[in-house]
Amino acid sequence: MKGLIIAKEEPTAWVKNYFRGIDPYLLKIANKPLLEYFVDLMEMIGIQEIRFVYDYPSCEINKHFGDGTKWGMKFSYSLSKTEDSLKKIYLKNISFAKESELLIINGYNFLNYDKNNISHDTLNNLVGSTPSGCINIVKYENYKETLECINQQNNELITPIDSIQTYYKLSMMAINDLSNHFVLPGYSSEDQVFMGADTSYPKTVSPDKPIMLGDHTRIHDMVILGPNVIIGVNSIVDSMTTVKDSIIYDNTYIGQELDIIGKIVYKNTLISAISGESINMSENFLLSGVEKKYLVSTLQLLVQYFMASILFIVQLIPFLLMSPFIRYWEKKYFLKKYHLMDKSFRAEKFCNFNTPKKSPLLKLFLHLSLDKFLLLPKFFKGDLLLIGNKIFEDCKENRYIIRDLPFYKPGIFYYSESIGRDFPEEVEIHERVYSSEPTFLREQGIFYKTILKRIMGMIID
Amino acid sequence: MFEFIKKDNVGVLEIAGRLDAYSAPNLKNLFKELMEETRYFVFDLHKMDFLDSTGLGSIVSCLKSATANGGDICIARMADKPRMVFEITRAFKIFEIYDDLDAAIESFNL
Repeated sequence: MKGLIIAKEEPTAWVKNYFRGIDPYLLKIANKPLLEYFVDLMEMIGIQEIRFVYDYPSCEINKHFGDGTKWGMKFSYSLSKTEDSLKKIYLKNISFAKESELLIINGYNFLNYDKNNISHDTLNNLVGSTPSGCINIVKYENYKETLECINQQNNELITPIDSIQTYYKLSMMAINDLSNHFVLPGYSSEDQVFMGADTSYPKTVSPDKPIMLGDHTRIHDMVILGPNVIIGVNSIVDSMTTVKDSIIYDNTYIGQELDIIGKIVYKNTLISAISGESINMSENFLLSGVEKKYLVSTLQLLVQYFMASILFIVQLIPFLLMSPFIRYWEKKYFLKKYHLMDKSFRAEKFCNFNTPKKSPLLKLFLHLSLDKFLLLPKFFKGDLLLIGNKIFEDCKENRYIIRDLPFYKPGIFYYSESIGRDFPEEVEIHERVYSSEPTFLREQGIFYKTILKRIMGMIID
Repeated sequence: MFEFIKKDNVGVLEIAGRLDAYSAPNLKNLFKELMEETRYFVFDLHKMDFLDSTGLGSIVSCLKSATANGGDICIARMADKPRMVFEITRAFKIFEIYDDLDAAIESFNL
């Protein structure tokens, strides 16, 4: 038997409202990513090969599970379209599916299986569907019928994770009544107490179980902990604070002398487990994220300042010599247009000289990258980066592209120009590639390649 | 690098090795010629070991030409590295991607 795990984005929309930056299928329930529950189940029934199919860009799933070596299994990955039916997904993965019986776990559901009672027969009890997906066992010979009839079945062992309240309820169930049903992270000789690696609490803390503490978690003196508390990895709870019936997600700092009761805390967001209402705390001493400092980003910016200063000095005299012509070119060839400056669509009107070359003098102007000189003040003002995303003109299509990018920080120099592919039909692809990994080295490459390409253009001309 | 065969009126174009800024124009030129033979294509990528954004741009450009001509392109047997480029650029949302060549050919249902 093989396993097919289908992760669809649509039923997870609510997750983004609360847990920004987390892949919904890796959202932790009792400090364990959801997909690991599925993988555990498959492993326990003897499945050796799993394929993850998803309809949204999820490098995180691939990064988390890798090739499966860590699990002693073989994992592969495939992509589908949002509108693909279960049958179509099956057909798109037919090479993987046709060799053996297939267990399909589809959708954003929690499966209430019991690790102490897993067999092929008990697995049949899990077969069923919910509004957000289904569990199915399919044989190639009759896949058409099996995939069609599944929609009519319901199963109370499958719970759709459709709201923050359900998420909270399931998390609490996992450390309470169902704690023996799953392989949960942490160890302790005491029932319903789960301690992560490198985690302990001072003697002045008296915990009330069930509690679950993630790896490298720090609990300060006199904290009142539990019952029903889940604290994620690398989190800190400061002195004299009370935490009851709550989930503190990974990498979260909880300040001193607070009462966290019936809440979910994710970085600086405080969520009511009952109403689902959330507020963002701006005071770092109350709640905040425990994250790596962005030393690299600061260094990148410093290097950009240095490069921009050099560029300014080198280009100043040629620019002054050509400045009488710029006003003429502006009137004749270029119009000032609104350009988008950030993800909130703040727009500024200026002339971007990235247009077809005309006269020999204008060609020289562009070959010397003097059009970039015009934008340098915006860099020094902090409105633009020296190297960043392409500066998009303000229009409906571009807003759509920007909304979908992981980030949008426009720069005077940008990726698609540096590779000589600054074409409208390809710009979205290049911007996504740049946004996926804007490393220090790549940025340096963009800067020098652009300048070199333009100078080489002068030689060719 | 490019191998073309015709199966049941579907053109199967196997792209091997690297598809990048240097080879992308070749694909575009070749595709223009192949469009005279059929409208439906499967791009077989199991031997592709490198795809960059320019290479992907050329595949998208082929798709645009094919659909403008009333045809379509499916992707088959995509290796891991190209899959990641399709993923981060969301190009998978505009292509049908199959892990089996025959299933990809049959999907046109001609």
